[in-house]
Amino acid sequence: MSVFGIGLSLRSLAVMVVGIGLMVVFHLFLSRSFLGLQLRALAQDEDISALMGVNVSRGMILVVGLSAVLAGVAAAFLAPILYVSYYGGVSMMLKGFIAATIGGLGSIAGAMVGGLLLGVAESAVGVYLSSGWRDAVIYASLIALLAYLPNGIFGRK
Amino acid sequence: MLSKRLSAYLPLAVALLLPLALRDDYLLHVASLIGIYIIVVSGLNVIIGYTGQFMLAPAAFFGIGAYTVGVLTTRLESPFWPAMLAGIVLAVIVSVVIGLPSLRVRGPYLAFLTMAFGEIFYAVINNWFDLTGGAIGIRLIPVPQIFGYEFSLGLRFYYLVVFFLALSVLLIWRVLKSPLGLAFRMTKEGEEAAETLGVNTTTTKLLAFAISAVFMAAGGALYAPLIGLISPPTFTLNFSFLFIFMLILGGQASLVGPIIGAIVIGVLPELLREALQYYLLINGLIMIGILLFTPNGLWGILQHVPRWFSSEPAGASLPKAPAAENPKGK
Repeated sequence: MSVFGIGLSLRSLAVMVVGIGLMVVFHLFLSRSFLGLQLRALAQDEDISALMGVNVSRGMILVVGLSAVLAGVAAAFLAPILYVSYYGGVSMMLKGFIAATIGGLGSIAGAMVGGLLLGVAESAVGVYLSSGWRDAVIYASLIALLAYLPNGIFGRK
Repeated sequence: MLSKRLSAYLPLAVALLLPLALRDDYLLHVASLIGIYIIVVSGLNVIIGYTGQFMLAPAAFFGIGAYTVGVLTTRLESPFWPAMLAGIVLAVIVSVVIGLPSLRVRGPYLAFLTMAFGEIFYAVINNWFDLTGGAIGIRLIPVPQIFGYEFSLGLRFYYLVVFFLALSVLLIWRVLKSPLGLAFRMTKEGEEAAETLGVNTTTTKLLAFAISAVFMAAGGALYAPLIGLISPPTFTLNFSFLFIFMLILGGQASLVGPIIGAIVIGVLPELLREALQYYLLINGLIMIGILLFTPNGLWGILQHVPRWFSSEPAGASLPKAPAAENPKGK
């Protein structure tokens, strides 16, 4: 199937739809719901949130669980392309960190933008420069980016 | 005080006499490896434990030391000692290059930045075939020798490691006792506060990076002839995390912590050999268990042991409040 002259598989379309959908859902959850408000308070200051009546341990567990869910969704999409192995998670973990860092921690839109930028940059560098040095160039660019924007693109604090 | 001198010289005596207990060459190999790990983790302790900067790429500096020795001794037929020195100098230079962008970043961003550097190092050694042998690596690295005396693997190399280990701990101890060491700790406690008290946190942090790089590279330099073959799969993020586990498990911000951590994590796989494929699981569970009980690692727990045996009440060792003066006089 082709859109605007770019070949698109059904799976890529599914990834885009699910990704944007999840981002919207999480943004609404964090900004509109009461539980989301509690989580944001936790991020700012644990102790004061506890004083305000936020259940800290429940919040922490919830956050860890939510991240695990998102990672699982990502893995489900990636499994058909990449091989599945017990150590496959480590490289993905680093890519996830880098994508979140580029976008700025604390911003969901930032994470999305960061992931997009990282993916596009990886492919572009891999094709136009060399594929062996691709990772080194990407990581060096990350360091350069952090030198100018110490909190990522949309990051706060 | 007697106990202070004892606590300094006793481990040294143990290290020197250990070969009497370990007659096996393989066990001496493991002991030498653990000794090297102690050097590396002690260096890591300076930047993470005392200065509070999350430097998550010790494997890269370790690798700089190892690869410099490997390349210079096999390609240029250089003797070991200048190669080791060159590795240390290169590591210091690189640490400053990485330290400069690190100055502006805090917390998780700093962690990811240093992890990214670790990956850059891995990409360099994996791809620069002409220099580093790419994925194949460098083999047949010769053991150090001095005026014809070879530090052959086994007993002699073990004592070489002990020598450098003692030297490293001594140097780190001196640095930490100096005003610079105080500056490190002040930077960790609060950078802005340290600045107001006259500490130049920029130079302090860069010096912390450089000093820790010295010891991490020294460990790597010794690692190269010990294993004889170095290749990229060794110097990955996993290896960096291993060093960090050793530091956190043993107890950061103490001289003894890295020693305990390196020994425990170095020895555990050997002890759990019987468990075969379950050893990783048990390894992980033990580490989680220890970390749940103390943020200061094993040394944190061990420091409280003497108190368990004494009959003093808990507050006995605290300084006593000055006796209150009765303002009405008597």
